[in-house]
Amino acid sequence: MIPGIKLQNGSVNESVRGFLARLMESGRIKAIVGLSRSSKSSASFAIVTRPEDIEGIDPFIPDYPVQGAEIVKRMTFVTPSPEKVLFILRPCEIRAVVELSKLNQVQLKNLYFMSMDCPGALKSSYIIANGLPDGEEFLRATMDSENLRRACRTCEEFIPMCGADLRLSALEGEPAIFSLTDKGNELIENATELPPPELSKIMEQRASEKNKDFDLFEKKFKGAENLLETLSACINCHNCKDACPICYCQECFFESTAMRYEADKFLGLGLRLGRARVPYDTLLFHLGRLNHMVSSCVACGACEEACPRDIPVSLLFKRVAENVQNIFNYRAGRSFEEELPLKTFREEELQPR
Amino acid sequence: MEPRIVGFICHWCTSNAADMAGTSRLEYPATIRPIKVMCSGAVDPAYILRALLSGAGGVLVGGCHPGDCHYINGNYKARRRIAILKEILKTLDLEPDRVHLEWISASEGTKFARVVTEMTEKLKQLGKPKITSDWRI
Repeated sequence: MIPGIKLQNGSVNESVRGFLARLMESGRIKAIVGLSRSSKSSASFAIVTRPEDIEGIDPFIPDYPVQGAEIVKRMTFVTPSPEKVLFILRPCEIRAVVELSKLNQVQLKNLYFMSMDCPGALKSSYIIANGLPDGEEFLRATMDSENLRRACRTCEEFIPMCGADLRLSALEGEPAIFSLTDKGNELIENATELPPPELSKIMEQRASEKNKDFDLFEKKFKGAENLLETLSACINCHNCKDACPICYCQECFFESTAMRYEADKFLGLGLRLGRARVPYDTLLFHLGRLNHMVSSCVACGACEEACPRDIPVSLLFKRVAENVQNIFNYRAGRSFEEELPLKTFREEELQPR
Repeated sequence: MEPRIVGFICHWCTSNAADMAGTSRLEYPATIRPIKVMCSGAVDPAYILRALLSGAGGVLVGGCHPGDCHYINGNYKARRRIAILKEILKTLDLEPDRVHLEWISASEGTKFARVVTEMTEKLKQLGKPKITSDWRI
């Protein structure tokens, strides 16, 4: 049992908005950041400060514009928030917030987080062809999993854990808002002990999709031939890196002077191979980026969303991340206490090398 | 053709071992191109990858023995980075054995010569790197 409040049957969105409006009216929360429809085919994050403007907030709207952790970072990188702000984010976005806090990129003072049992988001291609449904509509629809983003349909971490103070639950069973932390208790009045939803069926479904996807990994990325076949579509735009919440460096190594070549070096690779693709370093970029951030990869799929060439980048990163994080018994975003693998070491480990 | 090894060797231990191997007139294959770095912990895996993608047969990272690091713990950090790099290469089936991390102290000239000899033999068996002959890298 978890402490929480039931939401009225009928419109989930309506009762969530009522809850959020009361948080602002009572002065417990100054501002709320969440997804809001911005056009027929898009949603954007909005910061809402007046209870009457809460109308626009739609936590389940199935678009994935920017990674929410990025917004937390932009807001609090320089100074922590002076007022209490509630962020409504997906579990993967919260995991990225947890990682960024360990990387000293966000300041969590005065921040509250609401997350949800996440139904996922739709592929951009589906949204462009069919328009973007409202969150409520999407929750009720029986969607073919093919229409979901890859990272969403293969996600086994769709239930909020660490970092979330409130858990909005409307995927299965009676809709409710649960409190997961002391900070969550501050926001919920008259909580009662409620049973959490079952969700094992969805979990099974996601696990089987993940296994299917990992089989695809073998064909798409395993071995030099397959890897180059897949990455050859890359145009070196570095959008995947820009969209990645974990890639936080102000200046990326792969855009630094270390990666600029003089004419003779440029010529060099061509001379060595007889024929070489230019600009160079497509593979170096992807392998290098894996090395730099994969131990903190939260498998949100923002990279793939940003790829103009439809390369299944999130599959590459998710698969490799699982193996790498396993070495250190680490899972990105699982806890604030687990130390970042690259920030620590044990004297006795990794033998033989 | 002899494989070429790029060596990232630490200023305090392994590069002195390389000197020792030379002044002791030890024989080992002339396959290694040593690059002195201040600490094995300062080697960004991106440079190892660049060496491999530029045609090196293998990369040797040499550091001080555990507990002996001049910067206290740089070699432990190197060990984690190399473990991550090798796991990535393994997952992608990209010949992780071409990357080798070894602790070689300043007095171990013989060990330096032995490691280079053994690594050269191993790389000969592995043959030409699969990835670097593709024009699309």
